[in-house]
Amino acid sequence: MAQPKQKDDRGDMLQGTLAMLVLRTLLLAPAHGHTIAYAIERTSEDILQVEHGSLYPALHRLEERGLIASFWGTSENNRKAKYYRITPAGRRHLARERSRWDQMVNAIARVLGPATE
Amino acid sequence: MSWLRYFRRTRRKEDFAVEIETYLQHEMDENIAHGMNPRDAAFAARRKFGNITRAKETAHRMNTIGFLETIGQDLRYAARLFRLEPGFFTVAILCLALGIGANTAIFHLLDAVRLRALPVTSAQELAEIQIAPGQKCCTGNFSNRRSNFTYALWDELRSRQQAFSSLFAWSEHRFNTAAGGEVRSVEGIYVSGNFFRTLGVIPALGRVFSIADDRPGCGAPGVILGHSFWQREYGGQTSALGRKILLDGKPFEIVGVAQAGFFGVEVGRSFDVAVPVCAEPIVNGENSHTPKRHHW
Repeated sequence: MAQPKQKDDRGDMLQGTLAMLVLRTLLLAPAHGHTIAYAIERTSEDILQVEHGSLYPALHRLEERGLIASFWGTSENNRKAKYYRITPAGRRHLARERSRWDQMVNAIARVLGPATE
Repeated sequence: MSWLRYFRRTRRKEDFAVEIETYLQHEMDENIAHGMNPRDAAFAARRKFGNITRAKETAHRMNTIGFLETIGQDLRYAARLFRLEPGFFTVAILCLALGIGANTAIFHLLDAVRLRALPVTSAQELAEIQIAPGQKCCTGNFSNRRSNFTYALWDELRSRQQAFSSLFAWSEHRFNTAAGGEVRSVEGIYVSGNFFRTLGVIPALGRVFSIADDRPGCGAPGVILGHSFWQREYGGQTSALGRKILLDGKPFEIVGVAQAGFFGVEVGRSFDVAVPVCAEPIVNGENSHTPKRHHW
């Protein structure tokens, strides 16, 4: 299992990238932190390992920026949990970030050229 | 929005702790479901989460204003040091106080002498004309602080200059206003006829001089009082207009009062009375400087 090592000393992934992943996950349904962390891991087939501790500050930052909103709810195993859902501003942000990301990936792919090995 | 967070930080801190706790519970539940014993499950959950303290600190930094948090600590630290070494502290505070005080004083002086513009309509358009300094310049008798030209030179300049929209001359003289006995001196200036007009000074009372007031042999055409002198000596009375004032024994009629705040063109000084240059022969009689060519 390949694990991209996170060099950032705050244990975050590239901040914008993590935000994008969180927003994409919340696009499907509101979720609490635990679900989000596992959703990212699972849908990336365990390649992206979010350090779960770093997810929560990121969630707060997104909430401050109005990209997601939170509410208290009861989780599937009957515990009080803070749920997050994506806001319209969050959707717009995601669309913007996504096209930027696609551009960047394409550009990098062009520079690297076809795989030679 | 962002700084308002500061006031909600306690609430948010509690929320955050609850969130983390929820996470650990969920993780533990799952671990137990996978067959771990509760103790291992709790440890595994913490491992999975990572550094709880760091997450809390990150959130805290987002919610607080660092300056406000540490200022209390700084003040307490300062107070402790003050108790330990009052002498050093007193000296330090005195140094600061003296330094700030001296700076303020010097700035006030500079401001008054160099920085403040003359209190006239367009001070930035004014220029002073002088003879370029050199070996041949300016010998003779100087009778006052700012002698640039003799009357003859001024007369030539006035009639030939084209560079300026208007040219005025002034000189200062201390007049004695007493009829006899003890000398009562006032600060006076001789001004050319267009002095007030050029500077854009309007009269607070009566009128200011015009070119017609300043022609050779004009006799004693009148005097204009400085505003503060008028307040001081005549109590700001309108009836001062038309009264006579003795200047070096010669009666001059008060024809006007200059506008408040106008102190002449010398920063740091002010004038009490202003008379036209042409009145100088009357005042000085046979010793008049006007016709002299070697007297500035």
